[in-house]
Amino acid sequence: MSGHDALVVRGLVKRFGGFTAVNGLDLGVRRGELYALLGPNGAGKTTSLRIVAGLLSPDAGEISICGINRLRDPVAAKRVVAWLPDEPMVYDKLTPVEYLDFVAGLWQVEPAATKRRRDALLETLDLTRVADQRCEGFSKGMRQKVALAGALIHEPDLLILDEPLTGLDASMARHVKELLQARVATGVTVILTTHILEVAERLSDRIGIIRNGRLVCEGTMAELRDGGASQGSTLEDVFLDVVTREEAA
Amino acid sequence: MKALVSGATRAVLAHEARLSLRGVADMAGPKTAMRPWRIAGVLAVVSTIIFGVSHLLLMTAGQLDPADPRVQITLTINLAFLFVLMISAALDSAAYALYARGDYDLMFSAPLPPQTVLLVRALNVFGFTLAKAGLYGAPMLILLAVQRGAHWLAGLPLILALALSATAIAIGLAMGMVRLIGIRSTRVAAQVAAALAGLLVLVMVQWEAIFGPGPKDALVADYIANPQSLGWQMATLPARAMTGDGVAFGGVVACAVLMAVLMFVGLAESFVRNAVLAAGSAATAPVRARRSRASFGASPMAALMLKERRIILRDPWLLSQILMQCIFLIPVAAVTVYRVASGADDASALVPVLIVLCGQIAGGLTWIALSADEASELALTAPMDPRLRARARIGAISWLAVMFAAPPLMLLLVFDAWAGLVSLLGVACAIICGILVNLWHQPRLARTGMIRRRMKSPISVTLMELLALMMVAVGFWPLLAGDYLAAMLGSLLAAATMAVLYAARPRVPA
Repeated sequence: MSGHDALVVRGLVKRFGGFTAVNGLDLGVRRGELYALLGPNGAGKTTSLRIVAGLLSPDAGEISICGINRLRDPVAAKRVVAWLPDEPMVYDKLTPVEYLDFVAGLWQVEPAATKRRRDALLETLDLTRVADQRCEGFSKGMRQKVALAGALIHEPDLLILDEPLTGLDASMARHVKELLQARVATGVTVILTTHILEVAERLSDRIGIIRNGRLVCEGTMAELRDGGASQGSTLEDVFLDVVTREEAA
Repeated sequence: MKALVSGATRAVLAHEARLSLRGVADMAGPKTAMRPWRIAGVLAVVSTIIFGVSHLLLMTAGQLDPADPRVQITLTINLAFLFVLMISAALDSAAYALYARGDYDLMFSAPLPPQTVLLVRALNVFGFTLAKAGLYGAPMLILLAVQRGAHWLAGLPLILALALSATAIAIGLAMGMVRLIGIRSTRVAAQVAAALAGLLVLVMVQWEAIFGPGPKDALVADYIANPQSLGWQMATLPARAMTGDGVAFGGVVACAVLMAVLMFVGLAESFVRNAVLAAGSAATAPVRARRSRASFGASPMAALMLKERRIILRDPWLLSQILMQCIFLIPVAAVTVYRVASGADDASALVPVLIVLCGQIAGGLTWIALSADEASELALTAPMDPRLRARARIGAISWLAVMFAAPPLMLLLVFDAWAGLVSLLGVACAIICGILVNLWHQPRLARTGMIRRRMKSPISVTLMELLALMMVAVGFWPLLAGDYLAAMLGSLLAAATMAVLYAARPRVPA
């Protein structure tokens, strides 16, 4: 496995009873890259990313995160990863300030750094005015922003986002996209799944399409367009072409 | 009226029945929704236990002649307790079924009259109350019918009528409380009321042990002196119905039907108004929290413990659940200390109960600690030893169990050092066993619905926990009488039980 890659997955398999959700997945994501993992519903995207985040154990395969073997040293691997699911993981009875302090405590961020980063994130995500209000009255978009701040407070090297723009209004969605691009510019690796193909097309450096638990197509937008994957000109055309071809096969 | 029996009503009723069955499946254990045989197995075990206990109680019950005033008073008191328990169970169920289901957007946007929704919800509450009362009461009545005469079977429809009355009263109370104190507070108040009712029953069961037969004798004497007074005629109506008095039985049924009709006719409009209010109750006014000096930064374990404590103290519902686990200890502990302090002959008779209760509290708290986490995946992705997570959560709330168990144990040590020491060791073992059984057998993440309802842990785990704790009690109780051989055998039995439960723990796929 290469120590230079943010994520290397080899031969990943995950079964739930008789159902194989991930079927020999191979995936490589470089450092400082924004990678979009696409696929139809039930393709195995979320399961694969949950395995990488340490929420599930694979039945077979190897995972290296920034050169750390995720299966042999899960605690060290978790230290450099942040996971943001589509349902925001926040506590109703905590305020955004308390939530961020709590997450920083779990990742053992220094108190001074915690305060500095927390205030900056609250400001960036327009949460300062509700910083001391309990999350129980927040809309889904607000909760998503609090959870995103939590994912960023320990400054992970690898940020895994499952449908990160769900529930955000147009201006906040743009704001979050800019925030992610800014993080990528500083060397952070971002892997995201989304059903909004336009977002993947405009944001990502590379795109992978997964179907039946296997990676069936991968490359930059230009490579996908020019590599014979599709005659179409948009990611939507490419995606539908690849999925239809795989279904026929 | 036609709309109430329409196809849509049948569809909603079928939907409710399906959800109720799944609720039973959840209580029977994880992933049992598609395994009716497992649900039936759990119900069979529970019924066998209740039949066994009922049989033991009947062996000491004497002749139970319906003409005996003492029997009438005893039955009246027991039925009153059963009715209080029914109302408390129905109240909790009504607060949930009427206002916390979160499906009113669907129900009120469907072409259904609101009365249909109320009828279906009321039937749900009635079914739950009847099932609970029937589970505890029916085995005793069936045994009475087999052993003492078929006329005792009149108790079965009597339970049905009492459950109907309890449902009507509970729905009326729940609606009134919603108007007075709001949706959220009603649910907490309903649960606290349920706990207090349970506590009252426990105290009353031990009444004679504490105060002697005097108060009951006074009631019997008053009844013998004025059996035809209006007060006694009304009070003994259910008892007379149970012992085969047809007129009394008709009176109880008529009362129940009248209450149900009044509830339905009188409260339908109020129900719709409150339900609309409940549907909007998610949009609450912002609650500001005072910034605390306590730091989350000491260690991941300290951060988890501080988070748990803060959430518990800010969530009245969760707090009430935890306190409900502990509240049942109070009467048993008080009676045990009272009897030991007063030098009663069988002073230590309740020590095994104390041991089992403390273990159950620890088990219940462990269940809450393991399941009541809205964002459990966050801690799972944190860079910390997985074992620390469970320890931190249990540590954050176990002090409550210690707080409740410590005072009676200290008092026992003061009044009788040996009884106190044995109780202390027994309680410590029971707490450890209660925690371990739950750690081994609870699903790692409870279903969202179960967390939302803060339901008690699955019955299968509760039974395993009870078995282990009874074995612990069997190991420690003989020590009080100085029977070391029996204590050693009991301890070996307890150790073997724990070993079997450890070996039988499910291998949860990661």
